[in-house]
Amino acid sequence: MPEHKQAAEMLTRPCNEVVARVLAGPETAARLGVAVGTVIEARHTITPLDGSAPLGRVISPDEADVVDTFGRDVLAASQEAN
Amino acid sequence: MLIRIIWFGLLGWALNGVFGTATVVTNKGKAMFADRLRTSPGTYTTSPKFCAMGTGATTAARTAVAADTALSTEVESRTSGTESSVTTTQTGDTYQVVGTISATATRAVDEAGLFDAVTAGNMFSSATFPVINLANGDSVQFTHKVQQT
Repeated sequence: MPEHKQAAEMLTRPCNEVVARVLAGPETAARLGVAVGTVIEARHTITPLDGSAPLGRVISPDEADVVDTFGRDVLAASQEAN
Repeated sequence: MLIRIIWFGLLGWALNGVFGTATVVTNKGKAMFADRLRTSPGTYTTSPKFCAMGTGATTAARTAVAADTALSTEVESRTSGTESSVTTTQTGDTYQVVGTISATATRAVDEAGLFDAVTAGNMFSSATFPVINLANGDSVQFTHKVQQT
């Protein structure tokens, strides 16, 4: 399922979740050309309480400008793929 | 009546794992919840606010370790997170802990957990996710949310 659709589905189901936001250190910041501390990646692991299967990786819907570790715009790439 | 409410609440926490036997709220976590409702907790006297991260969370690894005891391979030091009650469905129904852990070397992180001590202790919750490759100096801000239903 496309990640942005997973994100939309996630919002309709109560769940427990862990959001991991990766913040660039000096080495990564220099490589990507961003400031130290910039969010460069976000992972969202959730487990629905309704017994349905965990959704696994979901891009956090509030991270509109997230880029992955290769400097790509994750949300834009996901939307282009669909 | 109170016991019945708590029991059904705990049933609501009977969650599927992300990988095999891994659960989001561990068996220890359920016991911790019940114990810490008491006026004076008998066993779990510290809140599960210590954030940890780990590597090697394959299905086999998660089966090999007690999912409610430890992460597969914990890396870096735990951090004392910031606790709060937030709203998911009902007002204040979710326990939230936010903590940031820095990598002191290249890491392939794929699991995270909450513990009630800065070292050892009891694991309250765990989660696995696709590998995040960290360079030395990168950090991860974890936001753990556990909703009571």
